[in-house]
Amino acid sequence: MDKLEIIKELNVLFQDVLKKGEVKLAIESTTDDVEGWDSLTNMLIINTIEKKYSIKFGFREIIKLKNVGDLCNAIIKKAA
Amino acid sequence: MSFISICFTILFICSIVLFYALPKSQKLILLVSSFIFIGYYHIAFLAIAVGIAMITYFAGRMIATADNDKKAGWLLLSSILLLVFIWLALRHPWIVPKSIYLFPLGISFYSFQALSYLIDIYWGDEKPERNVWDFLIYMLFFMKFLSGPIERSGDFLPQIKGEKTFDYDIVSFGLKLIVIGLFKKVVIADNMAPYIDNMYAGMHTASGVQLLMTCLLYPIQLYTDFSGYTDIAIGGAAMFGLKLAPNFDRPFISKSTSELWRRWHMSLSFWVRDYVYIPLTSVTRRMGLTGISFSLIITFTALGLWHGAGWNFVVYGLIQGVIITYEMLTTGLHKRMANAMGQSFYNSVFIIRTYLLYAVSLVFFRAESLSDATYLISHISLQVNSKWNEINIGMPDRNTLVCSITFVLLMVFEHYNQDNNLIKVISKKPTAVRWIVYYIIVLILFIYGAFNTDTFVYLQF
Amino acid sequence: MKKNSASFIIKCILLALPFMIIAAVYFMCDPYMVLHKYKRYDRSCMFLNESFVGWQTYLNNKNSVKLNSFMLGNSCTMGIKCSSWEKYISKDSHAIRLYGNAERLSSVYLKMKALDSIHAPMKHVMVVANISLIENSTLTPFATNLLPPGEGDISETHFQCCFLQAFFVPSNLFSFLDYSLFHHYRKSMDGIINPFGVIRNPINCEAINPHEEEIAKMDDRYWTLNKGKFQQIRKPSEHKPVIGDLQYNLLMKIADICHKNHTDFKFIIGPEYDQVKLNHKDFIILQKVFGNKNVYDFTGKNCLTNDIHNFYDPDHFRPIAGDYMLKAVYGQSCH
Repeated sequence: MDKLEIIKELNVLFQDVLKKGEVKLAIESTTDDVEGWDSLTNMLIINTIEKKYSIKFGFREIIKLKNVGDLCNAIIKKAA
Repeated sequence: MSFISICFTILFICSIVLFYALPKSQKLILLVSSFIFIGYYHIAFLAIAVGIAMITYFAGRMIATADNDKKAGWLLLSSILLLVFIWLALRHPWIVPKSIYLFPLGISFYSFQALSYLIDIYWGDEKPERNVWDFLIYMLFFMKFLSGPIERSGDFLPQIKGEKTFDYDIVSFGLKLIVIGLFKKVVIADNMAPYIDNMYAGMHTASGVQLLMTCLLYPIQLYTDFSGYTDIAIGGAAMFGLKLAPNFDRPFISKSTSELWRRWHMSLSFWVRDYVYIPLTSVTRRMGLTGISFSLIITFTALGLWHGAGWNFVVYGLIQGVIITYEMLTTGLHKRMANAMGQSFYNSVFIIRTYLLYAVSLVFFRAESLSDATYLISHISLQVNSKWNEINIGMPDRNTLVCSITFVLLMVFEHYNQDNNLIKVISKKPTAVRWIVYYIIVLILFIYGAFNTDTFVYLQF
Repeated sequence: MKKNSASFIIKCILLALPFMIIAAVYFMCDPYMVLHKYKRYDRSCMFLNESFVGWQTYLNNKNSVKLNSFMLGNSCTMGIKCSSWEKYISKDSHAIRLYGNAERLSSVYLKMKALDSIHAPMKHVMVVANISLIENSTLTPFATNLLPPGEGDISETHFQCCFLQAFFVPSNLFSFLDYSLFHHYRKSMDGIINPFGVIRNPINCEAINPHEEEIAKMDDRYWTLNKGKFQQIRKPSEHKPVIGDLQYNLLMKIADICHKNHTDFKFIIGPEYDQVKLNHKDFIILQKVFGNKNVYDFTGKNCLTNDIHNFYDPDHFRPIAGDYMLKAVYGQSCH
């Protein structure tokens, strides 16, 4: 899996969780850049990612995720 | 000593002058000023604050140098339990009679600061501070000691490392912010406070309309009081070249309660988000929306309890949690409503709705007990043909006019300040214009300021 | 100007200069007579804080005159002379009027508490109130209504700062400067400058009302000229109850002090021209707290309020009404 692929998949995942028509994520995207992505929905997104990729993040790993790029790296690392 | 007192003014002026006159002794000056400030209330407050700071300092170093993660975890847990125990014991002493007990000022704020420091070290986000004097300044800095903002070590500690040189723009910005804070506190908050306090004290004889107006006006009093304090704290710190975190961001334009808590008492709400809510949601994430709802309710109930041990504070926090949970579960519905109503109309309606809900919840915050709060709410009347002196809750017409006009001006200022930094805009105007503005503001402060109280609402927490 | 610390300090001083000048004038002239202690407070061009004046007058004279009887209340107390009251109370009693403008029930309590705290002999206390005094329990924040340290809980610094602040109010400042320079009273100075000279007795603060002189000269024309104030003010009715928890607590505290000092206490609700009657529930509460024989209600429609000649203005009765009230209260001829 490469980052661009994951981002494409995350776009769909975010749309689903946030109930948005279209979400366009980038490597540097953070909660400030995506409407609806905040502390209320963050864990829902994490949980959905974990289910989708059959991975499990530790709490410390979650809090170190600062942007979509970090999320992609974490997914790649866990899924490997 | 209160920010609005001659003693504090003298201390502040002396500190600032010495700070820039003796650049090599800046840290010493900050520390000594902080010691004087805290010890002025009671020497025991200083002893407690220094004690907690030292416990935190050593605990931080031990956690960082622990042999393994498990040991670090136990050290963190013990430190948290110790700090929370000390906070609870001093905050709510069950043995000592209330009449003779002196509640250590600022303890709720610096204790939470200490907890965030230790947790950040454990999570690996921050390294422990090696310099004990820098750490003491972080914990005890007098401009934020009494009522925050609750500073994160990563933001504050690096700032006190270097020597500060006099920066005219920053120092004058700080002074202007202090004046704005004073304005909010003495012109608006303190002109309303005695009448609102009177209503709460005599609510059983107040009319339904008076109770309604008390409920509606209290958020304004609280906001101008607390944000006034915060502006003075941030402005004063700026004059020392130190940047403190903002605590308010135009909360009355919030369209939802969740948005309100991103704009109101931000340092506390972000603290409970980062150290209570996020860990909780991490544990309950497999429960989906149920887990998040549960986490929200626990988090906000804890936030309520931070303010005090009574059931009224529990209900205050619970109301926030329930409303935010509801908002989260009905996001789709609100989007559809906005589309149907038009965004502007939707925004207007929901700004008012958010304000009203918050005003009602603040009744639990302000009332002495749960029964008083429920009495007040259940006796609110919407009888609109009441007399003016019922509607203005006994406030003299002068106070009503001053508070109304200045509050509207404040809202307009904050609105335009968001995009334009009006303080900087005014600084660029010709001298004559600037000085006219300064004189008008200071005159209004002198003439209409109610200098009859020197305490801030959040001093009690 | 270069932007450095020196220019910052200079600008701060320049900005503060007008305020420092005004403050200097205040400290030099002491217009409210609060900065220093004076032997007499009856010579001031500004209207003073009556609570402060009364308290200082009491402290100045309590030993020489053996003041042991206190008339408390708001400006309605101008209608009862201390000298008239003394005729009805015990022969060794000397009365002083410790009133306040727009006095509140809380102020009455705090004054009694202050007297009790300095072990002042309180042989007789008479509270001359109206419905507004009973109803309003918050202390008024304005400088001219503040209770001074000693009477209230305010600190000396706060008390002084309030007057300094009051002096900065343009209407007060300009009125004071104008009158001090030109000694010419203008309508705009109403309520700020005292053009009447001596308005109270320097020993017992008994009111010396300039309107009495006017009435003596003008007779009935006084009320004809002032008929605008009296017109359409009458609304004979019963006032809604005003005694709630706050007021009741204050009344009980007053009663406790009287009980402790074995004080002969009278609570009088004075007549007002509008003929609005004190609520009967409030009257019953007052009687319960102070005793049936110690509470007297002259509000509503009666021979006092029916006669305009008993009033200077709708809210303030004259000493001729006061004398009638004293006779009714004490139910005995004076000695």
